[in-house]
Amino acid sequence: MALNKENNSFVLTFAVGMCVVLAIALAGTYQALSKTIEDNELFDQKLNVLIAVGLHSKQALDEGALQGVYGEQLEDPTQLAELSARHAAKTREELETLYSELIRSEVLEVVREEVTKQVKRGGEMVDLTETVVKDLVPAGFAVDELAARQFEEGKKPEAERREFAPFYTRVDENGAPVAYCLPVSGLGLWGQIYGYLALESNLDDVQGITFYKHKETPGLGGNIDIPEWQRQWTNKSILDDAGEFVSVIVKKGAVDPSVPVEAAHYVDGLSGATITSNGVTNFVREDLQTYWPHLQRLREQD
Amino acid sequence: MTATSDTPAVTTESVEKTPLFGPDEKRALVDPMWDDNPISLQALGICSALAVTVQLEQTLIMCIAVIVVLALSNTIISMMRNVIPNKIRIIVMLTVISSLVTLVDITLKAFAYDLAKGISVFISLIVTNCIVMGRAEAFAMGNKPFPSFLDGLGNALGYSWILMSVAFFRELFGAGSLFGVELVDGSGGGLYVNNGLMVLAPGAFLLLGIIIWMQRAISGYSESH
Amino acid sequence: MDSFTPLLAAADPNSLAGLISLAMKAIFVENILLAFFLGMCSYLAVSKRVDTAIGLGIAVVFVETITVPVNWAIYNFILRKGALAWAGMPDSNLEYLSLIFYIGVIAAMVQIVEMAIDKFSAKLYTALGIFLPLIAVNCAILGASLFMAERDYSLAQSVVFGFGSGIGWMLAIVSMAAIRQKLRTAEIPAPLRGLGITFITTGLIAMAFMTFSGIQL
Repeated sequence: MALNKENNSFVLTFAVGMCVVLAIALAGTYQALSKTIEDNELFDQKLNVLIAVGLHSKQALDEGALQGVYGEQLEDPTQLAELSARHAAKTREELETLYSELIRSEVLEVVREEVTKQVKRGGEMVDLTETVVKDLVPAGFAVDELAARQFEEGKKPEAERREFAPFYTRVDENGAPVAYCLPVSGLGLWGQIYGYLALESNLDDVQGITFYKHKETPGLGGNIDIPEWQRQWTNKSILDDAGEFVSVIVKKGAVDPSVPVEAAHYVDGLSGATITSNGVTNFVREDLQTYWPHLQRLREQD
Repeated sequence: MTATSDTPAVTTESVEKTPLFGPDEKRALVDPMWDDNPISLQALGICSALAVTVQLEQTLIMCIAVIVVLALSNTIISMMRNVIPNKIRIIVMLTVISSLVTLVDITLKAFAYDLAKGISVFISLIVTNCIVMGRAEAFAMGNKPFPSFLDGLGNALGYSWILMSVAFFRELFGAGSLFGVELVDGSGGGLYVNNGLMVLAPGAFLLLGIIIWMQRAISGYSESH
Repeated sequence: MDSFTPLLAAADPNSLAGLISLAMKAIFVENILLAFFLGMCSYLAVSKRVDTAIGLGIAVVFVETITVPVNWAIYNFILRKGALAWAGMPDSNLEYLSLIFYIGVIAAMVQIVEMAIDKFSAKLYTALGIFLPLIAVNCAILGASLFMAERDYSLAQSVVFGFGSGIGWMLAIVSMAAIRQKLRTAEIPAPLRGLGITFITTGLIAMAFMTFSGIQL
């Protein structure tokens, strides 16, 4: 019997049948793999915390290659040991172990308040109200739950939303803090840039920076991914000599090392990517300001 | 979609027993790589392609995804060709193709997360890659599964080599590297300064124009005005 | 730090100024064809004559202005993680079905536009020919929906973005068609004719459009 495939009821049956088959196939695959995908996302974040605090690098280098990259720093044997450990190739399991042994994480809740101050506008003084961070308090749950909690908050009306901020501490074998790490994110040219910034235990010098998700133009703004550029951030300080906050600034052009201010606080601009460079400068400063009360408290504890 | 008008579907269906890999099958596989190249001659599938040709590594992943999707979609649509109602065939094809693309996307995210991260949106756009629809409509709807599979494979490979050559030049001239391995220091200190234009959209257009020019000059094809 | 001036704070994205800025961005700065390469197939094939280019351009603007907000609604009320909370399923995550849904909406919209053009302008209908149903596979349209979801636009933004990227696409194809009409009398080496020279011209147009990049409105 010839199949009348233009018959309306056949068309309908065919359409419904195909939808069911495809839906089952897709849903099945998704269910089977969604756990792996989520794990990959979480692992990617852990990996980047490790990179920011100086425990790992995406560049696997042997000692000869290290010489070329770091030069004179290698004369110090402890430095050499640290750098070759950082650049050693590691398996995913080794990285997970490293993370669980040497990284302590916590979630803080950001408490904001409105401050009114007088500013001069067009010749007269006007009141300007802005929201500033008042304090950060422990949020009372672990980083693993952060995504789920933030998702819950997203359903609430904006005024009632609580704001959470993860914070990571790298500790040594005895549990003493070696470095602190906080997420930084904000707008670049094409979209949000996400990364981590780590500070040394003096909470002044930068330990490292890394970006794990962005849409910047490869070869221009996308060069924020390049290890050579990220390494410039190491040892820049976020405080000036008087202890005032200045953050680290991505310069337009190359840094002149003979100018003390530039040597201390500036990194080279990304050529052809002014908007990305300014974006990074802005969000790094804003995020450091958000965490400021917490960083200040850690400073006082020392 | 010039494919439908320029290349009438080659019918390899016949009642007699044909060898498994005869001249027709060979033609289905080899033709699209050079004489009937989907990009340089049929002008198909350029949409989602150029954006990922900045780096060879990403391009390779994109090409593999296209090869998988195109070969499978041609095979599946060819298997269903006798039951697909004509009225809804476009949407049926689109549904099959988008399911395949979704499967590839999920699989990449699960097993090659680092690479998938950067090109996820472009993988999704394979759905509207005209090559996939074009071949389904022009070839798979009128041919048996095996030749359709070969046609899909051939077209995807023809597409891939053009893409890989665009990416080769863009990465080499734009970043001074190949597959992420730096060959020349192009940051300004050495002999060569990276050409920023290559990594931007205009560079891709110019390069593709030149590659098509060369391919047509060699294969002797020319378009009338 | 006197040498550093922070960027001006951007206007509220949902205010009128924010929306105009988004439209300008979609048309000029981030032109969907010239910066993201989307919608190339029909761009190459239908840019031979200015009048057909305008016709297809209008069809694309129309389809995009409708599909992006419709897909916005689908994304935010059905597909997105937790979007089915209104139906009592707060933990649902159907994002993996987004491609199929978007394509379905687009194909249906294209069908409607096709019927409308057939009814009102038979001439345009024959001129557009096979390209009309193939707007369904015009990557510019699917691309706009995917960008909308990825950039997390609001409803107002998605309308403006859909309209703006449609206009941007139309602008590109109409200017290309005008150039190609002139090129017809030019002496071009045989292998470069057609596709080759079109790409090189597109490259030059894209370069001109790049001067808009980074403009903050």
